[in-house]
Amino acid sequence: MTGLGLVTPAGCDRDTTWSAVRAGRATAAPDPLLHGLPVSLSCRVPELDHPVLRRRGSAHLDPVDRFGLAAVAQALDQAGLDPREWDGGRVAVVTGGGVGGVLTQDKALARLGELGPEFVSPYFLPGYLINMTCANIALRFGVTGPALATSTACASGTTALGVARDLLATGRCDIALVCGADAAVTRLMVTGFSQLGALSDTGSRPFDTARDGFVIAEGAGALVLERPQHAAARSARPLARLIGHAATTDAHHLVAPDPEGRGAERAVRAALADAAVAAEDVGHVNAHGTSTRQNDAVEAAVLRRVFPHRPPVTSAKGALGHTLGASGAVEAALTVLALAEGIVPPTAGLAETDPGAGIDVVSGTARTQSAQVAVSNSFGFGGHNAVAVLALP
Amino acid sequence: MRDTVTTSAPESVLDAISELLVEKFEVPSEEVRGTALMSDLLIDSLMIVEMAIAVHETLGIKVEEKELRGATLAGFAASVEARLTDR
Repeated sequence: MTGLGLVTPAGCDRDTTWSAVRAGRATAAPDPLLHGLPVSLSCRVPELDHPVLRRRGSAHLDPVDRFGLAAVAQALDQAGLDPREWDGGRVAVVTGGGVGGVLTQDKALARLGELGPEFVSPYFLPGYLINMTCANIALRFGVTGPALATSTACASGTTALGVARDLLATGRCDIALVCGADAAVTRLMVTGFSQLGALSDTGSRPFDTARDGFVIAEGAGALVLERPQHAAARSARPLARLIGHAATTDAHHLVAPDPEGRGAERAVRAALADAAVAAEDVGHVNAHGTSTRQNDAVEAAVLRRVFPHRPPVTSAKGALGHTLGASGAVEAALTVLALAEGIVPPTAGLAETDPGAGIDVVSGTARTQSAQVAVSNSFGFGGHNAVAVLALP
Repeated sequence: MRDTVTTSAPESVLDAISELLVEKFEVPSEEVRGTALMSDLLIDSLMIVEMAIAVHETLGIKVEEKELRGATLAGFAASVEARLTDR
């Protein structure tokens, strides 16, 4: 892993995002565009400007593509990779996203209803289709190897990491760009999550006694993965290694997690086995930690069972809200930053850990922790579970 | 004194289309000249379709894509203007 990029509600780059997460600063705010809905709290990305978005043809991009392009550009910059110089055929891009360009869809649907079909933009489908973040990244950066979009709801970002890892491991590419991105803070999407009882209108409080749902957010996380030999040959400094990954499925219910967390537990254990590390080697867990009653209870029970040595646990969703399909990539990047700095960031919004949790959730301020290995969990609607194991180089 | 309606109308159609080119299609303003071909200003076939929709929406004139492809900015504006005054 040689480059990271972040576009989040805390800021449009890696450093501002990291400083907010490190400080445990919550970003949720009342959202005027959600006025009148049962839930009107969200975490929005601040106004985004990046050189990659100043090129012609950027005006019609859906926000999800803007976030993704800016995050990937940052990650490439940190990796010291210049797309003008690489062999694009040996580069892959794997995106993760839950919903595609839903704002673009909303606008097109409104025009269809109000003005008629001849007024629907030809940019509707290129802005809406879920593979288009992937296609935009390939187009802007000259990626001509495998390009694909994964969609496992809120596990998408971590699923994308695993797919990219496999493309590298099987020799299909030398470099894999991974990008989780979602921009789903629309009236319809918020209504949909609200009707499922998943949202909080008071704040994100992962693992807290008083947690009552997640706060919807938007953003993107990007990671540059390279075959170790490829990175070494160009003397690139690795930030971390993706040493293990696993995916499982609950097959229990479309949106409710298995109450026993069996699928999630199998994913964590399989990822550790894939990494060939023992549970006690894990010094930091970046939990999925959505702040819903059910997810956090089930996840805490899984962590209790798998990690009896009680490693420190954190959830970035306290600070950033739930960026849906982006969250796995955002949180993998944050986990790498935490490992590199030797800390575990606090869980924003957490005042009193649920006494039933039985895990050591970091709250208040960042904790010094010289972990070598960390686990990042992502669980999605659909019963998708994806877990990444990350290690310092 | 000339009639303000007839003198300002051609300019306003040209201005309206020029504004669309800059604001909606990100054409650098220095490239927006009457002699420029619309197909050089609108570099992608989707932009041509989008411009036809934008003209229909902002000026109420339905234009064909092939008309946009072949015309200069000034020629296209004049043709839209002629249909506007015909109505």
